[in-house]
Amino acid sequence: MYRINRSYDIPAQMELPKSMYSVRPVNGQTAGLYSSVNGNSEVTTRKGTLSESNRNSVKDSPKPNSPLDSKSVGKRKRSGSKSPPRNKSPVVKRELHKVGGSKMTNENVNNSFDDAARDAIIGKLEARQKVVIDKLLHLRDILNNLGATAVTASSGGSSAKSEVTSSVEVVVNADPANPPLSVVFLTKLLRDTYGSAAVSLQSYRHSSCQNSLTVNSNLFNKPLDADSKASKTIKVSVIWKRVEDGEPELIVQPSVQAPVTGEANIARYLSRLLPSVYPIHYDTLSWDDIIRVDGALEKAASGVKNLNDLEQQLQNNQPFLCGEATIADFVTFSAVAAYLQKNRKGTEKHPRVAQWLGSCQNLGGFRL
Amino acid sequence: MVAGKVDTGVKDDARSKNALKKEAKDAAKLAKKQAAQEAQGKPDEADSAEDHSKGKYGKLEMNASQNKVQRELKRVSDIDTSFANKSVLIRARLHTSRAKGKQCFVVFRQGRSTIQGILTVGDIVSKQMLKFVANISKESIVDVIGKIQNVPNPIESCTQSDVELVCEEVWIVSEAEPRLPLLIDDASRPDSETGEDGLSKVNQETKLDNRFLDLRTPTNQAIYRVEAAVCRFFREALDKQGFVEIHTPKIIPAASEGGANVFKVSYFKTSAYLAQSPQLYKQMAIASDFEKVYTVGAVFRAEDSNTHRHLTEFVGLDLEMSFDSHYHEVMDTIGNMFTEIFKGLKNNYTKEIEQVRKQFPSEEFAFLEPPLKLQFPQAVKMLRDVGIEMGDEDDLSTPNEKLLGRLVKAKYGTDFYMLDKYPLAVRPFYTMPDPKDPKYSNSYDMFMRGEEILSGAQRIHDSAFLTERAKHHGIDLETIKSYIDAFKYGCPPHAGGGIGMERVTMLYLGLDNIRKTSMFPRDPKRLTP
Repeated sequence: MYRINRSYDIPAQMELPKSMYSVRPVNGQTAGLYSSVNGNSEVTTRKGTLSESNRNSVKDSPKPNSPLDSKSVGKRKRSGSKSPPRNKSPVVKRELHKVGGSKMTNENVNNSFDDAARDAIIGKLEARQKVVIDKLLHLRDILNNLGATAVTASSGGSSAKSEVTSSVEVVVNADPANPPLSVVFLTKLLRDTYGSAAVSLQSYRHSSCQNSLTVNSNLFNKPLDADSKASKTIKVSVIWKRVEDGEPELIVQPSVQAPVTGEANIARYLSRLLPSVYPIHYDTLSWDDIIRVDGALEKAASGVKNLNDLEQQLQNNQPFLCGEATIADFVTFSAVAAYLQKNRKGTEKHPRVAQWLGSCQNLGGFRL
Repeated sequence: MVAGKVDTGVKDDARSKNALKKEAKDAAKLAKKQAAQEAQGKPDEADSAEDHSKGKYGKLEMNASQNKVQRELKRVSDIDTSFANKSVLIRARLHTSRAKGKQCFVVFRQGRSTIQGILTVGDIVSKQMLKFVANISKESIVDVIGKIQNVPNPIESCTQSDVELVCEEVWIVSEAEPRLPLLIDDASRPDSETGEDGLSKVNQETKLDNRFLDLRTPTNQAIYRVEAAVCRFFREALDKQGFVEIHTPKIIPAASEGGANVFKVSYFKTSAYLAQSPQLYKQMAIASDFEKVYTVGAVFRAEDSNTHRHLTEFVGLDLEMSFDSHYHEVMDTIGNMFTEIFKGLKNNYTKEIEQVRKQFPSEEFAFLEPPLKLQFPQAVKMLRDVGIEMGDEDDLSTPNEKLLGRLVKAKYGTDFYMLDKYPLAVRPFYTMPDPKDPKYSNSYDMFMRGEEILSGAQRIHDSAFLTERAKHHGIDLETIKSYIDAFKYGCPPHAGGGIGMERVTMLYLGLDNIRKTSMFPRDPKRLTP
């Protein structure tokens, strides 16, 4: 709430509010949320949250005089699109945050907490923290294993059909003048992986929609097999309607979640429905690839002005933008298709782009 | 002329406060008028001598078709600036009039269009004529001849806002009694404009008691035209698919849907019942090789429920269709029929819908093409995800239906959807069970704005199986003998459903009470008009 630059030190005798975070003093100083012993200028005094300084210090190199270093609890999950789990900063379970939040209000109540009660609560926190750390270690093991297997998994449709783990029904609202073709690609891959009896894509036209669809609507209609007996299915419904800023959005459960906006984010979400060892799955990308894929996604999001940049990028003669096929190709394909709709000249002067378009369409199993 | 008082029948305190205020206002007005008249006292008598407008106004003899006159009546809705300086003849109702000194402003109303008329004492109009016109009671039907002139500033309160009628002749065709039970203006006022500060509205009971006045409001004119359109598009959509319209009897020997909700009538030496639905006869028509039938007719349900969506008599639009291999063929036909109705209304009746929205604001009706189809287990999951507890085979209660409607609207953006595969336990005995899962049935419901409008299913077309299911439900076979007989001599597999015309109109327009869409509604407490 307030950023106060404290030019003075809190004297040791001063009674700070007894919060859950007034843990055993380190370096002989009573440390609390409001402590500025680090000398960091960023000390936020927003009640109920970690101070900026402490959060940062946890992530980066641990400062020796940061009291909450090893006993960090209640780290905030970073908002925004999910980033791949990194070994350095832990991914937090939601309930812990809630727990932290509710516990933090105690700091205002009852300065007369006796030590026994306080220690009991601290003990519980430590137990919870241990659980989190165990889960982190487990996650790290999985990641290490992923690194080994990701390379060996074959691209484009493994012969072993996997099972859908839990039913998913998502709705994509999009402007028909700007159809999100990445959804077509990803649905095809999902159908290849889980079978056409478990994955369906259906499009609807909303009554308020004015524009007409610029591509063949069959691309967006892939129903379940007629005799499907699958108990768990993935159903993607695309609704053509007017959307804000022309950006498509993906809705899962509107009563508890905000919509996912932007084709890049939708592609990330859908790619994560694939089995986690699948190479297109966003989280299987290596660090370098993530940078390249994210870069390409951002470029696609801002629209394609001309094909020169793309031609340049494809100079290295790789079949796809980042080596193997990634969601960057799908989303860029969508943007390029929208561009080509308006510029009839096409790809005459851009042979590599034409070639890349061809390989994408082969992967997707359709022709525009 | 003192405005007619709204006789709302003092029902509660707020109303009597309003009425008291109105009375005080009227008394003050009356006192002022008398004072003014006294001041003008002498001139009134003096002018009775010379009336140069004699023969240009008066009350016509009652029209008993005395003579055939060829004359051209113009529609008020057609009059615009292209008529400037032309003479026109209109027949309209006198909506309001306001006299001030030597001028009188009148508003003439025809259907949903209004135009302002003006009389100024001068060469054409005498004082007596002005007095006569100012005293014509509201709602009287008048013939007016006058010249159209353009107005510099648009007249906000009239639909034909850029012209005005300078009256030369005014004749009363049919006079209305001076004290009206309700004022058209009050009845067409949106709720947002009424309140403590004097503007009153008419409550529903009064409106329904004086339906022939209430129906004159532009809103009601629009509502019933939309209702007529619903019927029309229903017929058109089905005729295109090769359906045949049939008419089924309403006096039947036994209760068709079972139970207590049936009206009994005396039928010569015995008694008979009023049909609760044309179900039995639709199916007989299918068994009689008509393949695809629909019927539009009255449905009588003696349910003692006084809710916003139940009537004892309403118009049912029912259809039944034989199919080739799967009942989804019928479901898709019904879904497409609805889409055609919605699209037809959206494209052709925008003016009417806007008119209704002026008095009863609502959100535009949103739908998907093709219509959204959900499965019952999906719906249960959606409800459970927000905390509702219900079993797999429970029927949806009305609040749950409404909640589900809102959830579907939030996720898919549609006010209309179909719910397939209802649990067998909550459906009537003639519903075909699901072959793959005995808990469910081949039945479906359709919803608009979270309220159910259609219930349908694949029917059992085999008499042996039907008998078995009837026994299972504990139904006395004697009472349904003729029903089972219909399927004894070969019947194709078929499915169908029925909708309530009033309910569909009410939900499409976003109205809150079904009595608004039934011209002369019938409910447990109302038998007239």
